[in-house]
Amino acid sequence: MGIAQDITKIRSLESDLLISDRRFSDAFHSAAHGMGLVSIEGRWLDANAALCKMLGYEKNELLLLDFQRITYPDDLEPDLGLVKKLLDDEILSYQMEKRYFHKNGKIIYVLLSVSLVRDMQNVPLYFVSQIQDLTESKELEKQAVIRQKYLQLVLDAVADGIVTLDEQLVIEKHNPGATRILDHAGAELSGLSILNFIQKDSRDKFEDFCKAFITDNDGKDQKIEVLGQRSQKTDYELECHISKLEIENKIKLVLVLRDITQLKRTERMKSEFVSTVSHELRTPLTAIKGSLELISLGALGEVNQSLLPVIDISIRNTLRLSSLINDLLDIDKLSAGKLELNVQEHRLMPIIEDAIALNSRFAEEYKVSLELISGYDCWVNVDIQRFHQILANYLSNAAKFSPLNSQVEIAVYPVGRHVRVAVKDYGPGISDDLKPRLFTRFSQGDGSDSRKKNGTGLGLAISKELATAMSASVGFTSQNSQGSTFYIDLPCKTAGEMRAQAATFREVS
Amino acid sequence: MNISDLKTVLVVEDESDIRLLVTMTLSKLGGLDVHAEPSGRGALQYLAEGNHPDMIVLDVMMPDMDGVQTFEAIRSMPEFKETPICFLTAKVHPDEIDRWHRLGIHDVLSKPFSPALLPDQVKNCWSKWKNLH
Repeated sequence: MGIAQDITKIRSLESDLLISDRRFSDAFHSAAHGMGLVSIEGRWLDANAALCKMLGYEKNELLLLDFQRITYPDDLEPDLGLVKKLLDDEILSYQMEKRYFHKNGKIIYVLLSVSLVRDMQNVPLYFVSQIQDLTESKELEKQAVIRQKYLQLVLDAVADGIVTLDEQLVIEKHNPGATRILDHAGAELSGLSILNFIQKDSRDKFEDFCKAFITDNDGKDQKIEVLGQRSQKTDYELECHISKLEIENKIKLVLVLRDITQLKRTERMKSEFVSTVSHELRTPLTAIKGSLELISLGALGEVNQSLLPVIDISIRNTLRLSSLINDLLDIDKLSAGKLELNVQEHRLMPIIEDAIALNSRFAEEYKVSLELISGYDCWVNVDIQRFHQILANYLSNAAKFSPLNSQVEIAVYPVGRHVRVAVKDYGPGISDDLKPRLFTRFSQGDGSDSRKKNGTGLGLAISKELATAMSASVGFTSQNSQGSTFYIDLPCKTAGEMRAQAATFREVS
Repeated sequence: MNISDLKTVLVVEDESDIRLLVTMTLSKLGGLDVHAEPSGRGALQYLAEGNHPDMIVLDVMMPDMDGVQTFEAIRSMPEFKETPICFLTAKVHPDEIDRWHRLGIHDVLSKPFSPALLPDQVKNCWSKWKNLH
């Protein structure tokens, strides 16, 4: 029999298989990725530790299942199709991305590589599956897609235009807002210089600004307002926030664009309205005040004594109205940056003394005395009229909010390189909710208070802006029910420094 | 030059109430002889009719001819080259005042005016002018 004859050959073949089996077995069980042997019907015949871990089963549990059971339903048919091709010998192996269910029900993404082992007669024995876990990288990919989509939605949704520029100010990326604002008739913006969209006369200014921003900025965003130019040649006012970022050693500019034409127009209208109304109010007020004063001065004949109190009331109220109008005009000029100051060097203490004298009569009406507690001789740079306005505001506020027969204390003393003028009252103090908006417009205790205390709520806001314009700063300290202290800190020179400065001038000249 | 030499004043002001008040203030409180005109053209006509006020007080913001135009027109009349003229206005922008100074307006009185102070302000303006010329 041929069998007997061939026995040696068979033995040697078996031992070869054994060796290769052992090698295979070692490789199978120590592999870092999942490996499994699967019967022709799909039952798991063997599984390595990595595969068990990946799927969440103990090995003995897994061997009771078939792969169909743990395959995500949508992926089963393609897998079975490939299995059939393999069995029909149409292909030698296949690879596919598919999903399994983990024991805990979660979906895991894998890359599956399958080959078929046949016996000597080419009868299929079992499948060898290599399974690589892609869940983590799939998850990252999914997150990246979501992030990208989210970012895109945000960029699409913002009304502002956003463009990125390279160092030559050529547009790289932009959002739909930018297309709308720059109004490039729907054509592609990328690859065009941003300068195409800036009005001719503004172009150099804008280019210089961007170039300077690229080379030297302290990392802070900046803002520029220029005239933009649209395809149909209409100019519009464009506000442009600029920031810088570095990607792979290349500098990119990020521009946030906003069409502020309407905003500017509204601002101008508001400003014109305020100044027109104020001027229109002034003329009749001048007439009323002038008439009343002529009467009270006796220019039109002797006045019946019984009329004097009401004439006095009328005059005081016209003064109040005109100071309200002046406040409105001031705040309007300040917010438009149009207030002109005449800043000069003055000795501080005479101004303080004048201010106390000028405001004493007003304080007396509230039965309050103004007391200078401490002085400090130095020179300050102020617009004297406007400085008086700030002091009058502080002193009159302090008087208004003081209890009867109390005193308001004025102290002048150095704080670092500055001199502080502090005005302290013994009134009710400032409530916590008012503190943060005290120096903003139209803020006072409350409506009823505002009437009682005769104020517009503009005084402190004006004082703050005037102080800022004179390089000074304002502030206050207050504890509820223990009074308040309002102060202004001014840069100053001592008398000694002034003499030294004068001496230097003499030497020079 | 004695302040008592200032006797007659021409006031040009378009707002009738203010015009009356300035007139009353300068006449009743200041003791001056005041003639008032409602417009620049009215003022020019008054001067062309042979009137020679010692001083002229001009409003600035007026329709048709404003204060500056009126001032220039008056100065172009040979017999009024030396008459003291001051502005009485609410519009006091520093740049504007510089421009007026270059034109030869040395005094700008501000509105709203105080009747108690206005007569002296006008008289000071007149003295200053006379001392300069």
